[in-house]
Amino acid sequence: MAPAERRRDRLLLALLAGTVLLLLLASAATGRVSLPLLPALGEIAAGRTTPASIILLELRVPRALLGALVGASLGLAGAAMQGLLRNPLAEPGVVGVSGLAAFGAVVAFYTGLAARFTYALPLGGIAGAFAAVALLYALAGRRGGLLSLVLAGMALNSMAGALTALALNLSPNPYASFEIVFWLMGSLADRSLDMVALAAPPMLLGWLLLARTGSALDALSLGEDAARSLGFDLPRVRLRIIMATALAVGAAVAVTGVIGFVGLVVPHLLRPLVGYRPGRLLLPSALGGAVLVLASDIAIRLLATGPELKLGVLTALLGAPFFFWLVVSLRREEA
Amino acid sequence: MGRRPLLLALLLSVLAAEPAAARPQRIVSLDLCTDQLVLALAAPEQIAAVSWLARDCTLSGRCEQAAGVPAHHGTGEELVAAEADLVVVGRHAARGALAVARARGLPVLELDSPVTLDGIGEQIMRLGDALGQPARAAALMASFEQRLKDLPAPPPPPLRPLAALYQAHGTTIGPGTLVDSVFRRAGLANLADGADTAARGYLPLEELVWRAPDLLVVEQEGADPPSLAEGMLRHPALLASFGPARRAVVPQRLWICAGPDVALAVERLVAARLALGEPDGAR
Repeated sequence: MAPAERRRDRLLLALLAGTVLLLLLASAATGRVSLPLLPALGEIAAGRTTPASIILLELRVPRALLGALVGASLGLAGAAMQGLLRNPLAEPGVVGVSGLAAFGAVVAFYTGLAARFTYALPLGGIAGAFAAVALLYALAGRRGGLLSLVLAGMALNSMAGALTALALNLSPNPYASFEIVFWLMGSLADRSLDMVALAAPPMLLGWLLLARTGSALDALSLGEDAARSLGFDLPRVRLRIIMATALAVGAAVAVTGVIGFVGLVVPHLLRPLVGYRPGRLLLPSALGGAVLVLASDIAIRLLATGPELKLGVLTALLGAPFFFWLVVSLRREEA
Repeated sequence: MGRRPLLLALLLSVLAAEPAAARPQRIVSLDLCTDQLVLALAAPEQIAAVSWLARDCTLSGRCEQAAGVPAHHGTGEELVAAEADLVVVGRHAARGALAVARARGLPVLELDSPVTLDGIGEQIMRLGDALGQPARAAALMASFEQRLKDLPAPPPPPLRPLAALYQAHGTTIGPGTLVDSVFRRAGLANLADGADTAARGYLPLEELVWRAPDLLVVEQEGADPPSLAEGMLRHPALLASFGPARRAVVPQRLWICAGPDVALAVERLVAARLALGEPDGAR
């Protein structure tokens, strides 16, 4: 990589990382109650329990942390999927990976499995996500035009949504069928530190697995034969990317529900800035995803008068028009 | 002269027979709350059907009794098949069945939903008369009022501990409702009695923790079967803010309907208030 490129990359990463930190602070400062932040910090440090310290530590910090972690996972997964499937429309929410992850998490939660064995919840999400990515790869990974993946994804999304609704309706708990809104529309509200602790390890593991796949993704963009001839063990690379995506997205969805379009918008906006190289896109996408989710979450709280809007609704309002534009411009390119 | 006592006796027997003939024999109740009252007041052979919700023990205090009575799902077909001679409805009656009842000209008794404890007593008496069971109604009302009388009188407003009802999805119940009347009778001030809260308002978790009421009232007892709503009640922020002494559980089924079980809700809250100790005591 040329020194100029490396400098540009570092500048981009620094800018994004700085924005993430600022947004983390802003997120901790945003909420229903005007919280005196510094006194609250002081109380936490002194080990005293007051309403202010409880709100900061048990409500705002988990929300901010989870926003960054989930955003990073979704952005990273989007970039990785687009590299693996060589399809600019690939994104965990759009192609049904998040949807099936939600189904897996719902089954784990409402059958009472998660109550007996806490890790059942993220594991359910991961299992669902894995099944989805594997299925998509089998259906539309190797050949087919750009849109065959989207079609397969739509079918998978519909099925996942229906299965989730069915599972919730079958639950004997009267609240279950109302909770579909949380699972399908996603939310960071009132999450706790336990949930952060539950979801963070699989997400971090997913990130680690993806971190070393940059050069493989670069090679794949030249075509499978070229990549093979460059010495990459394609089945292993594919399995690694699939597992990593499943881990990161599955764990995220298990604690926040489906938050869509983050993995679509962020890599597309950042791709020109990294010279269109898939490998260089990974880390910026992670940071960019964190920025998008944190910013959206702050916006939701600032706009709220009564109950908050669900986060997935806001990302969909931003992402769906973007998606339409992308589809249209790609068809124009194809024609 | 000899015929007059006979005529008198005939007249008296006819008059005495009237109430028995007017007593409905096939009562159908279309609403969870009217189910409770009908099950409490009517003789089992008078009841033709109650709604299937009455068999759900989380919502209905008389679920076991309801299991021994035919249940309907609110459809017009079932109403016709039940051959009702009296249809009792509340505010949330099954629309389909109600329309059919009116179309067939069946007698329909509409009960409203009282929001005061006195209103409950009046409604019991009114329904008892309509069902031809005034004695049972009087007994039920007497036991209801006695339970309330046996409780200690509520302290004056300045000394009342502040309490908040936190329901699933962060809703709370405000002034002008049955829950509010229960709070008052139990000697609690309702957090939701603010300047800008409606009868049913959204209470964000942050705000609940910030305003730190003395007592947190929740409606769910256990985690089985699991739901996100129930999980919220065990959120670390709530556990840290409200220790066991500052929590009270009032199962939904006690006050979801305005009936005699409401007295049990008042009893639970009074016990919780007394367990709090002095208003500005140990937290």
